[in-house]
Amino acid sequence: MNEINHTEYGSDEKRPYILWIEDDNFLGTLITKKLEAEGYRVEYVKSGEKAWQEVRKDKPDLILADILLPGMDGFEFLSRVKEDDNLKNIPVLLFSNLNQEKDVNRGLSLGAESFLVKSNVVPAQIIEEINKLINERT
Amino acid sequence: MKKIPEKASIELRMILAFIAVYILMAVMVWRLDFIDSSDRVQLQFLLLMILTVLVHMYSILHFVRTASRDIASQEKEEKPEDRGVCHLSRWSIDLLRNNEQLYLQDRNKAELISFTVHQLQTPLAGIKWILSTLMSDGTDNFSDDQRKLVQQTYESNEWLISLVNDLLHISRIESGRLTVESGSLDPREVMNVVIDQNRRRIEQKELQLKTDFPEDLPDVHGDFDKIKEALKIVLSNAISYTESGGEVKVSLFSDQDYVVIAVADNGTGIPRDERGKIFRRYYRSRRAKKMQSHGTGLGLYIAQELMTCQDGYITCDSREGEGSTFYLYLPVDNWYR
Repeated sequence: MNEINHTEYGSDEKRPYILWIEDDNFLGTLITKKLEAEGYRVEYVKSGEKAWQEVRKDKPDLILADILLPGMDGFEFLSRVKEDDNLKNIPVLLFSNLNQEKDVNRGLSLGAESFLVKSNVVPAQIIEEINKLINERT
Repeated sequence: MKKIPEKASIELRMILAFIAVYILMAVMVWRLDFIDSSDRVQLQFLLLMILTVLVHMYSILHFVRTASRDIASQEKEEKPEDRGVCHLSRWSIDLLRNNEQLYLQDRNKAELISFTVHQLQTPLAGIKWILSTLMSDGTDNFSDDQRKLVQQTYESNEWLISLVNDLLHISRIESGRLTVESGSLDPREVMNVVIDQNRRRIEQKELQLKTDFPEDLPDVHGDFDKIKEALKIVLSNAISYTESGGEVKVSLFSDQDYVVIAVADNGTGIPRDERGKIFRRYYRSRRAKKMQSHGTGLGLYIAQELMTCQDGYITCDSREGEGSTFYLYLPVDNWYR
């Protein structure tokens, strides 16, 4: 399993920062705890609009985004991030119950690094995917 | 002499009778000596008024009665062929209305299922994540029985997730919303995705997985999602109905205008008399029920629908107690060029 390279990150501020967008409180809190236990700094928000505010305030190392959200959905948020020159290099991992190939392709064509279907994966696989993407960037 | 029509003669007779009554009463009033002459004029005026009111009342009653008789007689006089045409047009209008209502009800049903399924997916994923976390991180203080319970709950939840997905497929199939997005694709890509998704189960059940994907096969024409789902159902069945330590083989070969994905197992097999029924909706074979009590009997029906909607088909070859092989036939891409 891929593991985060903790030796590179000393203080809290230097820990890899993940912006996590999920409207379901239960799933959101569960993954936040998992990521924090793994050594990440996590900002957990529940809407695309709030995520858009956060992403411009503090640039994350990785964005983990649900697709079906109230208001601005995951696809629209991803489009905005990829259209912004300052943000477009942030890897975005899409995460949803939508499991049709067309949804996966749409996400990937908009610039997502990866697409995970919630009911097909377990938290260990999510963490592994995140660790892999973070380690590729460092 | 021209005979007066019956209706007109009754009317005339009644009016003449009223006038006769009036004249008789007027003469009687005129002859009564004890009444003053000024009063006689007033009384005769009063009699004339009564007569007018009676004639008007009679006319109204007569009009109402005649109109209702006319409607009834028109209905009686209607030709049988006209009546048939009239009924046919009424029936076709009723059928159109019923059809529209059924369509709306069916659409509402499909929307309800789709909404329910989407609402169920999130909590089911949550339960899966919690149980998975518990199994990987937190069972150190658990007894063997407790660990087994957690594992069983996880498996039940996995079954619920597959049931919810089946419902979504059935809803799409039955409401005609099964959209096919076919194109040229390499079947090996689909097979790798499905095998990766099932690898954990195969390992847990300690099954031997064998694959045979020749390099020189043509691309097929199909819908990636539909092939993936059909293959997932067939492979999942092979894993479920093969005893621990058994073997599952996934292979690919060419057969005339088709490329065939074969999933073979050395599991429980299907009795001869049930082979024709396994693709029916809700049907589960005796041996399948014996080996795994839960199951909807929807999987192979869905797999069959998913294959036929993209010009493919599915067949099965099986020997009771020795195992089964399911063949997914996909048309080669050259057909469509």
